[in-house]
Amino acid sequence: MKATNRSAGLARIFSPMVALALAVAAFAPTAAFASTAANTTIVNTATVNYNDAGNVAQTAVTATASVTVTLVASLPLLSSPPAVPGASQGVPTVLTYTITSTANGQDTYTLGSSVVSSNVGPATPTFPASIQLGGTTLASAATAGATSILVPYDGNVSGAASINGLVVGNQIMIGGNPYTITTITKNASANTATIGIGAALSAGTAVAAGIVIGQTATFTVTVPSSAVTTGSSGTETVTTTATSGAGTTPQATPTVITISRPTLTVTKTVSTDGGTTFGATATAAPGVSLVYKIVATNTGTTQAQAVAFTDLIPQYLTYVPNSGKYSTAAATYSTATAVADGAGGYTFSANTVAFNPGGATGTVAGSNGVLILFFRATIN
Amino acid sequence: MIRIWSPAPRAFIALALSLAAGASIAKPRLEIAIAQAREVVEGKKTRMVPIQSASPGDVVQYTLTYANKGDEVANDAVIDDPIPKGTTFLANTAAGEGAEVTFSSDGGKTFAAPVRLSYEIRLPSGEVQKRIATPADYTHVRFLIKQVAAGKSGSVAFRVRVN
Repeated sequence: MKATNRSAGLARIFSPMVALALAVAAFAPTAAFASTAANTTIVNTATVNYNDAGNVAQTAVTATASVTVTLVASLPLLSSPPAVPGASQGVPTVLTYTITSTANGQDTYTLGSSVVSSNVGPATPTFPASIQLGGTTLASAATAGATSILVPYDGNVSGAASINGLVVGNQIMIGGNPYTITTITKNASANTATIGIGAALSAGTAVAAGIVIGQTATFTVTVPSSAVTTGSSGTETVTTTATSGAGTTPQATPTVITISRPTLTVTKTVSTDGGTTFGATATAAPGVSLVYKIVATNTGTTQAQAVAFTDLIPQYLTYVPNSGKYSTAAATYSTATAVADGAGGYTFSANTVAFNPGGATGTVAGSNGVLILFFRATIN
Repeated sequence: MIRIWSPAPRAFIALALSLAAGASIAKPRLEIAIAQAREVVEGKKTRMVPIQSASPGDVVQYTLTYANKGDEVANDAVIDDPIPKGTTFLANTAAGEGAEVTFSSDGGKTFAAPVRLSYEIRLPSGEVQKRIATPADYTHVRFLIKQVAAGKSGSVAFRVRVN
């Protein structure tokens, strides 16, 4: 009963305080989110001083109790890699993600990634199963110019090189900027640790005590570029997720990969004037040496590789040995590059001209790149 | 008859003297223990659960139990408890039967009742203003118990929020 009266009395004393506290709060900048790092020990030591009946001071007695702060799982920040507009069919796309912890301690984040295909075959991405990120909080405010931050001691004496999962070389976010940890110094008696960052905190940095300092790291997701179903392109929409005890966070904007395939068109024309002018049709007398021109044009958006020609010499024509020439750009017979029979992937065999140059020559760029082959044949 | 019994009063005197000697070494002996607990709500009931760990944001109640294990009254027992680092005192939560509660907002140098606690700040103009300390500014809580009779015990408590 007396206790009730006492607390009621306290409430009466405090009630004007609440109004005052609100008034003061308007002046004091308040931290958006204050937190204590996981594994921090909160020690409460009470001391009693008292006198005996004769009012002689007696030896004080103390008692201590400690609470260990637990990890509070928190959704990490996961980047959204930009769209990939020019992926080639058959060439995997590697997406690099940045993940940043917002938890007060070390946690493991299970990764997931899925692909929705549109006009391309199904694709199964590959990625690490999980990623471990350290995290702590500021024990005192961090300001511009400082080359270290003060964080709570994690109670781990043996793990001198690591504080709440953070080790030298890790990147941590302070005030929105990444810094690399260069040193970790623990001070158990002060219940703190100092994390050296090798560089001065950038101008304008003002991070209040209690703010979470999370590790930031990257991981990659490799997405196979499946075959385009119809036409020249399709898309793969990739959504990657990170899951912790706080739930699952997906990338904010799914990454769209546009996969194109090369599309070759081929034309064949003939010249009766030695390779200056070409037409689809011509008239010529027996004995005239004709120049044939075969043009492969890539109207797709990605390069075509290993482009190869074969052409059966028609009836009533005789191939002129070593008359082959080629070009990877617009050319006439006289400006093209000669290629001897049996050299550079060029052959004449079984009445068939074949050209399979491979390498750079056999690669035809997208958006109307060309490979041109000339050869001569005489009308019998 | 009187002579036969004469040693008896002497024995009584000796006994009385030894009792007096015992009384002169009577002392109070206070002991204190801290229990830490968290309030758990189960439907309409709440109960306090002892804890070893807590999450940021959790409210922790510290209950300080004192007992006079001596054989004499303890006077002016002053229990000083710094608000643990990493926590913030919660307003209106410090109380105890027969205990007078005061707070410090200057690291334990001075203690006062809440309304009289103030701190100074320097305004951008250079003017120094006194402001009333808020519970978040408290650094210490003090419980004064005027008397703890021999063999008696009691408890005081306060709550903090883990930062």
